[in-house]
Amino acid sequence: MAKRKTGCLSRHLPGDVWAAGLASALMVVLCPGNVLRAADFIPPNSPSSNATAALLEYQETDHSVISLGVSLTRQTVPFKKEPPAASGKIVRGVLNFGGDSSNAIAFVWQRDSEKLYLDLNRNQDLTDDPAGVFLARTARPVNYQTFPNIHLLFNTASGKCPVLADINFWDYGSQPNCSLAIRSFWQGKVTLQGRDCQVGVVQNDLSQRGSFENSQLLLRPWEKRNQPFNVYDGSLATFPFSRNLFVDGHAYQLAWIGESPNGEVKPALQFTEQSVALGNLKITGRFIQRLVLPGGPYLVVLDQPAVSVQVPTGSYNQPDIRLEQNGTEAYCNSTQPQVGGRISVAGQTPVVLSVGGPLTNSVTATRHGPDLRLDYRLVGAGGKIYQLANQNRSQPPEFAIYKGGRKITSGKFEFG
Amino acid sequence: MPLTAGGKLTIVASADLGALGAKDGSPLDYHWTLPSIAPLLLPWLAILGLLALKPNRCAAAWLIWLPLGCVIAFTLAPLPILPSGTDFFLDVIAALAIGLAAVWLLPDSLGRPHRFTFLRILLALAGFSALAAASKGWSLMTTELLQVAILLAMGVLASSLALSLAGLICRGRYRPLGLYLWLFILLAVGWLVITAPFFLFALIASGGRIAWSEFFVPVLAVATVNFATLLPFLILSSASPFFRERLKALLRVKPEAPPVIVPLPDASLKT
Repeated sequence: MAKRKTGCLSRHLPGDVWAAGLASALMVVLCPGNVLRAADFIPPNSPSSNATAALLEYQETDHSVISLGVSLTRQTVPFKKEPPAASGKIVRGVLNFGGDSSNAIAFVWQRDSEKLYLDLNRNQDLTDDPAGVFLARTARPVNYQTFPNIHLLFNTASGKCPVLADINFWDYGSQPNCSLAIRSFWQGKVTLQGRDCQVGVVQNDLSQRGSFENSQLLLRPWEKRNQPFNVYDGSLATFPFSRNLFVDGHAYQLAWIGESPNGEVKPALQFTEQSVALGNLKITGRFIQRLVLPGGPYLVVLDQPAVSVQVPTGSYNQPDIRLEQNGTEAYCNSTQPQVGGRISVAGQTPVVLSVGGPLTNSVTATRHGPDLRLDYRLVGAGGKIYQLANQNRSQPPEFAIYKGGRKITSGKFEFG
Repeated sequence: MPLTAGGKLTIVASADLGALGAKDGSPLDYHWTLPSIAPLLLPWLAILGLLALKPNRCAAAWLIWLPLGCVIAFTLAPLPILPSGTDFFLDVIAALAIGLAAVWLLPDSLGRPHRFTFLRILLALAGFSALAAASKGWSLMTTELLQVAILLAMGVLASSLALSLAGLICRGRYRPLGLYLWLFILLAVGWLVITAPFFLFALIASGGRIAWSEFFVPVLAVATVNFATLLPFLILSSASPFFRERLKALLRVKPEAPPVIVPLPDASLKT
């Protein structure tokens, strides 16, 4: 698989635009052809002196960064122009990306031949797309097939966006289904308060209305740029894009300043530092690698926070948390039912936020007639429920029941 | 999990948390009172009550424990093929077996009109199956209880219909294999008819996006399991003269007529 390398440079924009331009030019000259440009992005309108920007480049990976379900409209009537019929089951129809039809792609899935035809040029002719014929990855059951390394192009509100995806089709007798395992994103480098960070964006809306504004923002230390990530893996490497971001003790306003020459996307993300009123937050737990406070005036991202930190005053939702200690990781997802309500940070009176480790294996017992039901929970500070990352399902949590100090029975919890 | 030790129990959960926490969690104290076994005995006492009836006071009647034991043992054995969360299905099978045992122990009904056969089987099957399900069901959670009740009601109705109609079809002559075959066909048809309204409703609600195979395959699988529950009782009826007559009476199958003796022509008697 072809993979592009990306190297980007970013720093605070100097007051002297010439200096920045010179740096950009030098970078372009110094970086050889196959290494993508890394430059301070200088927007046409001069930015303020406390702004820094990152030019984002298209990046392909060998792992899925997000999985998207695709609405599939099936049709029984053959297309006017479609490939010769194969033996076995044939599913044909249209893959819909959003409510509009402009990004829809007609397809023919010859299930038993494990072949997929895509109308990549969207002209309803499935015979004139030489690059639109794909063979399923082998060693899969016929009901579930993956067609890897498919390059697609979408018209979005941000411009024409290329996407690399593995397309999954499955058919267990009812309506066939389809999903996209996206393996591309946009990324660059930004230096915030002297710290190099990988910044990127993962599109989760491939419709015409989709834009970088409603995508997932990737922000993590530059050293971790080669680590695989997924929007839903609990790592918190990504979080919903927010125009107002508070990271590493500083508030930023984010703006997309890229241009779209010929409709092609050339995104650049500008971080403009803001002055905000701060309040104190006291965090009682340990092992916090990243904490994301959503729902407030700023999306607050705290990496390895100290016991006492300052965040913009305001009211926040319960946080997403990732814990890590000596290679063991766990995460707490705020979308799951959790204890605690809104967190109000105001003035200098510290607000106590009971989150983090250490974690405790916890069990609750309830009677159901002649049966005793045991439920397992992994509990952290403040009663928050956590999940171990990379949980080995073949080794579920166990329980033991003692009476008078003697073990009378034991067993394993079942997932679900 | 069932517990046979009452009193104060200490429960500890454990999992390897690496450096994020201790392996053993905080102990939980729980006072466990042993449940009464009386409800669980109720269906078995009811079967014993039927065995105490005058027509069943013979050693052959006690053979009813064989098919009943077979089915109950099947429901207690661990079945890895059963998907998680469908354990209630086994409770339905066990309850249906208790109901079938009761039907097999019903006294002779030859004197009654045929139209009451269905009602008689339905009432006996429903009553004893419900008793068996209730004896276990009070421990189930509400959703499971509802699932058991609905599935059992369908099973009782399908089984009663199949037995009555099979009796009607085979009333001329008792042929075990023919009866088995008809019972299987009628069970399949019965299940399809009973569940068809639910499927049609789901089909309309989904805008026709459900394949017919999603209806036929599981329903026929359930009908097969229903027949498999019935089969040990049918085999008993084939093997035991006592239960053969009982089944014939239940289904109102006519007893085989004695061979017709044709008188010899007069001429042959002449000397």
